[in-house]
This record gives sequence, structure tokens and C-alpha cells, in this order.
Amino acid sequence: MSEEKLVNGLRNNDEGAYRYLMRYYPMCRKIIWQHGLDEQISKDIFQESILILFENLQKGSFQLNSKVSTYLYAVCRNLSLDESRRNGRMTAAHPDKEYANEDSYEIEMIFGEYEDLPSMKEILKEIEAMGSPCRYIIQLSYFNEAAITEIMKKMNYPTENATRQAKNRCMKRLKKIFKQKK
Amino acid sequence: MINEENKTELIEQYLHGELRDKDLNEFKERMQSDPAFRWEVALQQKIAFAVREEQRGHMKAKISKIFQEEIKEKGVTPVINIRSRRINLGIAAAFTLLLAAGTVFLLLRKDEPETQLAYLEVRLPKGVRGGLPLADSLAVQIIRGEDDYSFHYRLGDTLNLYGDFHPEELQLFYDPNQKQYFLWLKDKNYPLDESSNITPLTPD
Repeated sequence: MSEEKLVNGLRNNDEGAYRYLMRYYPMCRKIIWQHGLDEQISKDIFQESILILFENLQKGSFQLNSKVSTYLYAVCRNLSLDESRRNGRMTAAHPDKEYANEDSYEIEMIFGEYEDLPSMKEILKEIEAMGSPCRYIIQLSYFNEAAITEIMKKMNYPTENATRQAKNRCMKRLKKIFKQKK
Repeated sequence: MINEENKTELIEQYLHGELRDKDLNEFKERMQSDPAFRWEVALQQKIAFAVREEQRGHMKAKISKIFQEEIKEKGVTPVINIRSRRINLGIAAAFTLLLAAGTVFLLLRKDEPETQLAYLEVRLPKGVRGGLPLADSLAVQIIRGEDDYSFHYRLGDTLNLYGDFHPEELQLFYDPNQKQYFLWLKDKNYPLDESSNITPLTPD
């Protein structure tokens, strides 16, 4: 399978492309074992590496200038390093630090500070109840971190501005539900 | 200037790490001086987190299923660097032996472990006050049929349970004072420690 076909398959969530990735497991396992980790942890780390690759493909932060296998091995290596450091309570490295954008800043996770925020279950239930297009727009925005242009194409909006407005309306509607319940 | 009209979009840009210089400073100052605004940032952050975790769980289950199927069907190929003809001959002989051993192994081997993904709500124990951990539900991977682990766990970003567990029988608690998770199963309480090792479940 060519790199381009593989990347497109992974982007489109094609099962065949994910099956193809399994050929990289032996090499990843070797890297993981070099960090003194066992078979079960190797399986977990390899699957987590594929998940990170999938997420970064969706976000567009993986570009074809590096091979899929090279990227996967780098993530495997960094996750193994984190795992072997974990007991020593050392700082965890970014799983794909070699490919991370150096301009980005650290985002503080502040939602844990508030007890009056809705639970994850309530949030997902309300998004589900919103139906289309809001449910799809929110999923695209927050899981795939899709750009406005991508949402515009997928949802057939005429302009970027119309897409942005639709997205804002959906988010405002969702936040209003929870503000009223507060 | 942050106003009602652009607030949602600016929060999103902040959460995506896209705000720069003056805009970023203004945003941070507003978060410090306006509790309602900070709450709204937290809400939007939790919405993003919830969507991401849910979709991640689905994807994780899909990858895990493919992985188990492929391992079951094809096994794991060893990684070998072939350097010379002599080594090649040695490897060929070794492979012949491995092939024979593999045939015997395939005839005798047991079924591959079966994996089930579930989400458990994280609760506070009765009478305990304080905040829950960041995620109020935790992805739990139940792995049945692992020869070496019949009543074990490993707690990391997700909770892996090894053995014949059923999600409907499990409850998960978090004690913020002890910073400790507990698994409640069949009237027994099992403390869970974060570790990269697979550990037997031992009641309190």
C-alpha cells in the first residue's frame, strides 16, 4: 500500500488501513521492550500510538513529509519512555514531541476546579439531543478539531462565515442549557 | 476586545492554543478578573473534553478489536536484521524449527484474550466531601482469557481489568482526601494504585 493511500485510508477511518498498521507492531514492540516493559504494556502502547496517529491525522498535524511508520515508531518510543519514567514521577514527554508545534502554549485544565459543571454524561446526552447539524458540528470541532473550511465542505455550508455562525449558534445553545441549569 | 458575540470563538481559539500576544494576554487577564467568564471557559473546555473522550473510547475499542483479530490470525512477526548468507542459512534453519514448533503451538494454543470496553462513572464515597478527578467517568478495558492474570488490574489513563469481570457489577469511587480510586465489586472494596505493573486485586 502506498503511503498516500495509507494516509487517506486512515483519515477516512478505513478498517483496511488500520489492519495494515499492524505490520508495524513487531518493531514497536522491540522499541518498547528496550525500555524494560512487558508484552501486555507493549500491546497497550502500540494501540495508544495508533490512536495518537489517528487523532493527529484528523487534526491535520501529521503531514506526508514523514513516513507513517517513522511517526508511529517515534510515538511508541516516547510513550515507552513516559511509561518507564512513570514510577519515578518524572515529567512526561509529549507523545509526539518531535512533531509538536513549538509555538503552542500550555493550556491549563481548569474544568476540574468546578463542582457545578455538568457531568460528561450530561454533556454527551445534551449534544445527542441537539440532533443534526449541531451534534455533527460539535463532534467535528472538538474531536477532529476540524477547521471551519473542512466543516463547511462536509456540511455543505455556502461560505466560511455561514459555517462559523452556525457553529457559534450551536455552542451558544448548548452552553445556555447548562447555564440555565446552574 | 472580548464581547458576547465573539466570546465562544475566542474561547475555542484559546483552547486550541491559537491566541497570540495581545489577544492572549487580554484573554488571560479576563479569566483572572471575571469568575463567570472563567466558568464559561471551563464549561467549553469540559464540552471539548467530553466529546473527545467519547470518540476516543470508540476509536480505542475499534483499534483494540482489529489488533486482537490480527494477532489471532497472523501472530507477531519477529524483527530480524539479515546480514550475511551464513546468517541467512542459520535463520532458514531456525525458521524451519519455529514453523514446526508453531504448528504444534497452534494445535495446542488456547483462544486469544477477549476485550470489552466500558465506561464507569466515578463517584465520591458516602460521607466524603471534595472534588472528583478531572474526568468524571473512566474508560475500563476488561480483558478476559489472559492466562497469567485472572483477577488483576492496571491503572493508568484507563483502567484495565484482567479476568471475568462484568461492567454491571462494578462501581468506581474516588476519595479526594486519599487521592485514591476504589473498585467496588460484590460487597468488597479494592483500592487501585496507579502503576505500569499488572497487580492482583486485593480487598481493603
